[in-house]
Amino acid sequence: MSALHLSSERIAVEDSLDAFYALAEERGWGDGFPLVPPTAERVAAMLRFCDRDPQESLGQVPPEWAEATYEKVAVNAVMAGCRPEYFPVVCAAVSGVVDPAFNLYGIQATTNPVAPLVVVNGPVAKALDFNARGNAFGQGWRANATVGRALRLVLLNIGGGKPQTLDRATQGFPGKYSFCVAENEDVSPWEPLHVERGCRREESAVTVMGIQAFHNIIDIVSKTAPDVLTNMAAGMAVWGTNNMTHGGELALALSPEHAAIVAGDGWSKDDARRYLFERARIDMHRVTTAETRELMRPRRPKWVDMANFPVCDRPDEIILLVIGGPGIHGAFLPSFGNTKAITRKLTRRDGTAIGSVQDLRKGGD
Amino acid sequence: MTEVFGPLGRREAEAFNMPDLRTVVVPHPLATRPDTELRRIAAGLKAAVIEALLASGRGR
Repeated sequence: MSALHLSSERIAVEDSLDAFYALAEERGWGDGFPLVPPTAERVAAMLRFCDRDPQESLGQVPPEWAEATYEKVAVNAVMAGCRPEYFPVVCAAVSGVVDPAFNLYGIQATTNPVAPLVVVNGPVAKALDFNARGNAFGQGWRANATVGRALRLVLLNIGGGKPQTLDRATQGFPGKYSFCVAENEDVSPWEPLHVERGCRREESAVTVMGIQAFHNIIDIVSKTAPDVLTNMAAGMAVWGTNNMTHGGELALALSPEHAAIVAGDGWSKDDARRYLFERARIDMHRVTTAETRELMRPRRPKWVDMANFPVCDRPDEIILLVIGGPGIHGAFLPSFGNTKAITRKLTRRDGTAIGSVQDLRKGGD
Repeated sequence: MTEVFGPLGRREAEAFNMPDLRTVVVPHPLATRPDTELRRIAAGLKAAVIEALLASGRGR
């Protein structure tokens, strides 16, 4: 293994998981779960899947605004339990969330239950065994679990987003431990998310979204595109999300079965988005007080008809995904509102797309 | 900043190398208050804001 210059503090600790776990608790590292000790060897192994200088920074992570160097990100990826070959995906996610348009400062510090959702697209999703099928948002796959967790550890340990101090979430939600999924491109009838956002299908990319919790929409009866989308829109038209109060992007993850019904009727993604936009509306008189409606007027000034109030301001703010296995459940993923989804292509240092994470691997085993 | 965000505001000031930055604290929450109430709160803080600005100008 070639020598790497690592600058992180070296801490001697008894060679046991219990001792390291105790040290991590004492230092205030981590998310509460046990961590993998980030030995120099493990960090170096992670950095072998990176063609950058370890001291180069991906950007500053608020609210501490500390530099997310590749080395520091690698330390957190090790602690999260990532395989070394996941590291390019972790780095792409970190690069996405530090984009100013993502508004990580707001997402880290808010009282809202918000977390970055990581969506993996392209050949690496399958090569690294990200789950895009049954229980994709749930437990059971190392890639999903540890890449999402690595990003959270970066936000905690580099960004300083500690609960009850700088992370001001009132209640939080379980996605703040780990929130990573792949799109089920094999069965999606439409072009995948990363292709919509400018990548080629054979390229791989990570898209991050500032998501406010997770809302299941079950629809066991619909057999046509309008019926499926009417029911999905009803599930999206709920009072209390930041999208209703502030507008902004949001996502809807259709199950493959629902997507097949919609596309089977000849509907494109844009058709579906337009239909959802027209129907994901609430009668504010039914669900809010007069005082609330007055508060809303300056925040969503475009919408004067309070009886037909939309969840977002434009159809193209609805990000459509196809995720999951057999079944008739969709997921409404409202956002923080003041945030933009960011897509990062997996590339070499010179900006050319990688075909596989092995393209980044440095020599030796 | 509102009371709840006090620790965050102080940490931000330190992160931007302004540890002595004077701040004015307002009641939490602000987001749910109508404009009329916000204006009343702001009017009540005028003296404190001026004092904080002058103190910053004097390098305190």
